[in-house]
Amino acid sequence: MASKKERLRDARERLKRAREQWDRASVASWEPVEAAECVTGCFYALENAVIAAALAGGLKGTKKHWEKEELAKQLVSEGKLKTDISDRLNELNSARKDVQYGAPGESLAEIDLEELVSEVESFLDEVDDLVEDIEGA
Amino acid sequence: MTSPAPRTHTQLIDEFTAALEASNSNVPLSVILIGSAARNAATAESDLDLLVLSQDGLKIVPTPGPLHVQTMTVTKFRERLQNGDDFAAWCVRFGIPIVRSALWDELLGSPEASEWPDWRQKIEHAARRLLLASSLRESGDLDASAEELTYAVTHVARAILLMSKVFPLSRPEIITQLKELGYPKLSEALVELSFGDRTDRGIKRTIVYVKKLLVHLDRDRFKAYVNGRRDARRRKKEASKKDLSATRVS
Repeated sequence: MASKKERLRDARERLKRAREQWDRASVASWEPVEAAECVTGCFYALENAVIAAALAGGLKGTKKHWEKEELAKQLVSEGKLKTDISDRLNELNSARKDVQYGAPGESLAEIDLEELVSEVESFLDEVDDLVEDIEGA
Repeated sequence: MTSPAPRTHTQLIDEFTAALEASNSNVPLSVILIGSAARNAATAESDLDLLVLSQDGLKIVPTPGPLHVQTMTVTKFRERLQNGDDFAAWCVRFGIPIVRSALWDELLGSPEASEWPDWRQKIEHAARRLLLASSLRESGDLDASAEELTYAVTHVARAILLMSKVFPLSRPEIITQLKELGYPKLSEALVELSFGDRTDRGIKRTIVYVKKLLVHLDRDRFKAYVNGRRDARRRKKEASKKDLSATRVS
């Protein structure tokens, strides 16, 4: 079991990664829009943020996508986070996989990218606050 | 306290189809099992993939656990078949109907159901994932980079197989198909990405290898995609700089 210091260091590393991914995703949302790149970047940014929150909160991380959705729910039910982004993760995973199969599918066309980018940014800020609180405790 | 036993794939599918039909009563729809599970080739890491077809849009229901659902209208699906899309072609060849309707039967009987997919489309699909894998690697996210690279390698593999008139099966089976066709290195790359340790060195090596393959398969198409992306990024940077200057002046 990693020490609190190690967990917080790893959480910070994950958050830094999430910020970089969000940054690229937000550029992809500008015109001319690169929808697949935006959705994929936001998906990984959210996943890294969920893992960051889990590590900071003393929960075990996971590599499976659907288990990260469960983890996102758990963080809210345990009162560590306010925003439940599990449905968003599920939606983005589908959109991302549609692209994987080939041409961007219908689920991708339904996503409002500007709204998505803004939602991801707010979530990263929320996780940042959580990590900061635990660091200061 | 003991945790509940994990649900089986059959239970997950039953749960999903029941919820879907309840939310869309009297709407004709088809639910098709696709991917490695339909080929009985799923591994412990495989998702459970379903295709849901309907005449119009559907009320979507949550997808439990490792279940992944792709919804599409029949018109869109038919259009993809006509355009030589390999995913649609795969579904009509190997998909297993779980909820069957006339929609699916009509598609199977249509002339476009036997169309051979256009392998050249896979060049752009692979290039898109390759660029993503490369940028994720730069951000230090090796797991995400390896995942995107797995998609890129699979797209290249499908291009090569289709070009050679071999229909690509599911990803775990493609490993064998590539070996049999004389591409052991590409086959090995897929094994390494799917089951091996993901190292920065290994990912970098595979990115370079896939790029070489794409150039070899269709240099013009690959370069056109990469240059198009590069130009789009450059235009965005320039626009961003202009915005910044305008803000400073005002």
